[in-house]
Amino acid sequence: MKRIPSALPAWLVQRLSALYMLLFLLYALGRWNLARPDGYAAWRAWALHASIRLPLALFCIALLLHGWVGLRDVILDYIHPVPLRLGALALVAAYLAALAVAVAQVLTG
Amino acid sequence: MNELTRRRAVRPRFLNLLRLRYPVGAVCSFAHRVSGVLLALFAPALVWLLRRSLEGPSGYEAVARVMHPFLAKAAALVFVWALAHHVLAGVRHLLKDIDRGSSLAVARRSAWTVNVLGVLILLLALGALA
Amino acid sequence: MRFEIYRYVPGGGARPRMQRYDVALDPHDRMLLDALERIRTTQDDTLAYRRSCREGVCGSDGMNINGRNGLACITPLQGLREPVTLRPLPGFPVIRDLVVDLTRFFEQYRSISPYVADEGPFPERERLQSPEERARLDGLYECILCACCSGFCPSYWWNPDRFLGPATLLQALRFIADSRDRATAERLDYLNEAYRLFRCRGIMNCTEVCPKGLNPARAIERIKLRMVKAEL
Ligand code: HEM
Ligand code: SF4
Ligand code: SF4
Ligand code: FES
Repeated sequence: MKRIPSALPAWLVQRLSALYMLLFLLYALGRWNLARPDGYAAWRAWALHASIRLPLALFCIALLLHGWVGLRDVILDYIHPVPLRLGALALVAAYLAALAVAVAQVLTG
Repeated sequence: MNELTRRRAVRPRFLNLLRLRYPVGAVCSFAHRVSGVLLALFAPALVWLLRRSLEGPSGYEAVARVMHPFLAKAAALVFVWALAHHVLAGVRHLLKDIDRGSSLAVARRSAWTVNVLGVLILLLALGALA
Repeated sequence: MRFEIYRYVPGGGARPRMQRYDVALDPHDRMLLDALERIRTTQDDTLAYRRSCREGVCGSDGMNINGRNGLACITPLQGLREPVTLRPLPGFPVIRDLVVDLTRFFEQYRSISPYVADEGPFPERERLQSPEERARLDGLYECILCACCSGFCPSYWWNPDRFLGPATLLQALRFIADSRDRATAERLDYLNEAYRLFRCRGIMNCTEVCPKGLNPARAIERIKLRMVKAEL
């Protein structure tokens, strides 16, 4: 019998990324409320401090994975002709890849 | 092609989505999908805002100014609703995944709660921005 | 009482249409199925629908009643908004009027091997179950395969050929959860695929319409949990 690829990992990635994003959002909201950085210098110091920057980088990774699984699910539901579907998936992949590059530039710069 | 296969090929289906009555959970779930796609579409704008705001004082000011035009406010409101609904419905999802609140009665109540809270948060944001 | 019923009689380029019936009910007509029988015997014997047990046991007369799926035989006439609008189960190919083609639905049911699998060695006597083991089948074995749930599942509407649908997945858990079954790993393996199980989005439309009060959505969640546990 041909082995079919397991679908469980994608599902788990979506749950774990969701959980991490949730925790990060709560954390960031809490930190923001404590600091309430005002003006450019304070904002930059706040946002690029390691205690935000690193979790934020992880958040972006989680978001990209989560978005990929989620948008793929939407496409598998609604777009059935194979060429169209592959095109849509490629479009989403390119979109998320571009997003990843932009995010990396911001967070390392 | 024999008669039966020919008939099978032309069989109609009833699937007029406007003729069905949806349970509250379906509304919650559909809105979760819509909000998820919206969030994905908003992502580049957020990255751009983050980048501009960190670029320098002028960029920071520009971002603060961007929030003023009507269109930007409307977009911000859509974003707030999408994030609120998506996260709340997401939490509901995660709880159901570990078999919490999976009975019909509880799931109905949680779906109502999520739908209403999403709109309430939207109204709060409306109040804050106006 | 006024009814609007979906009519489709194949052949000659016919298209589906809605037909109105005004019918004088008998005091004994309590359920929607009684009204259909009344229409058929007094007004229009060309109206086609399935029925057998007329008491919610055989699963024949699933249909879309005022926008929700249910069994005509156990849906009380009292409380139905008029005109009572009847359509075939959404998404399934219509053979005629309210009769849909469930061939694929039952093929999918067959695909999950709906029987206790045990290649032996066989015990001398019957396989006993403890009351707890037996209790795990509650809420699963009662399914009558009426297809009301699958016909109300959006994921099944979009991918009826590859997603197995709530009814079949509930049955899959019925055998996964059976203490006498020896094929749990194979069963989980079969379901662990992008479509068969994982198209479910937890919408719970299935649970909303199940005339037997079962919860296929929860069964699907429990299969996923079993998969996660099996991987760990
Ligand atoms: C902020 C960026 C986010 C984006 C762009 C996003 C996007 C998406 C998309 C497109 C889907 C697919 C929707 C569907 O299949 O109907 C989805 C599903 C999901 N999202 Fe998010 N999401 C985000 C954040 C979150 C957060 C913070 C949570 C935390 C609770 C979350 C929880 C979920 C869950 C549990 C699902 C799975 C739903 C299912 O299986 O049907 N998401 N997301
Ligand atoms: S789970 Fe309920 S609705 Fe679905 S086929 Fe079985 S009895 Fe019918
Ligand atoms: S919970 Fe899953 S199976 Fe049930 S209606 Fe929703 S998508 Fe379909
Ligand atoms: S006629 Fe048997 S279930 Fe309704």
